[in-house]
Amino acid sequence: MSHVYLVMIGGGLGAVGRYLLGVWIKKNTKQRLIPTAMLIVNILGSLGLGLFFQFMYAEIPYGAYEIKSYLFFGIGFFGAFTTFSTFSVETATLMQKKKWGPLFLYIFLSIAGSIFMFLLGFTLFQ
Amino acid sequence: MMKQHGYIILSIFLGGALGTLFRYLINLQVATWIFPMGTLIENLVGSFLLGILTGYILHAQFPPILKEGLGVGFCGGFTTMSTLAADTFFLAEQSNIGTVSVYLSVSLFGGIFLAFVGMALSTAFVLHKKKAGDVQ
Repeated sequence: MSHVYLVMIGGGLGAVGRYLLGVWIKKNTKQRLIPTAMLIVNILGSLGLGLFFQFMYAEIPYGAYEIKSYLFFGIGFFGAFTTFSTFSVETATLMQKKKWGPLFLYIFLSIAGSIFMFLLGFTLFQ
Repeated sequence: MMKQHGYIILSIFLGGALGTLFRYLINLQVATWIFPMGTLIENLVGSFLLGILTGYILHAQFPPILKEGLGVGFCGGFTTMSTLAADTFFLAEQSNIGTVSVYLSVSLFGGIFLAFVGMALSTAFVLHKKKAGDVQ
């Protein structure tokens, strides 16, 4: 299959997965001070990408735009499953509401959490 | 209700596929630039676009199917946190803590700032149009 289709189908599935998990989390958790749904999705997706890279390639396949599994799962599925734009908008909204405590907690957990979970996934079974 | 839900999922799938395609195409274009420019551009532009959409939706009527397709699908698929995490780790191995700090700061503060500006711009636009009676 052409590279473009692999990227698009992986990305479409990732976005739908993010939406469904987000809806499920919102339904099954209490309202918190910080927006937890996308936080959990981003952390899980980063863990998934770390595990995937370790198991498939045992390295970060930087610039490997010819590897089909990387296009489908790396750029496509995990790339689209996680999101940065919602993080930015939710943070900007907390800023508008002047909720400084939740704001810094949300930023820290999202960024440090995603990097840490990626690292955990990537090094766990090294 | 179920049918509506089906259309929303289809819309998110299509939006996500297109957003991811654009992210991939930009990555290819900037592959020879300084790493990791691609993800940085996508995350900044996507934050701005979602900001515009969010500001608009807060103040005007917007079809739910289009809203989810563009917001959750396109902007969500165009931007990425998992690649940001991988880029950060890769950058830390290849470069130094200074470069990592710059990458994270620009992503973080740039993304939040652009989302904020996008929301403010579209909010001002809608309120102006409402005054003129052009939008409901």
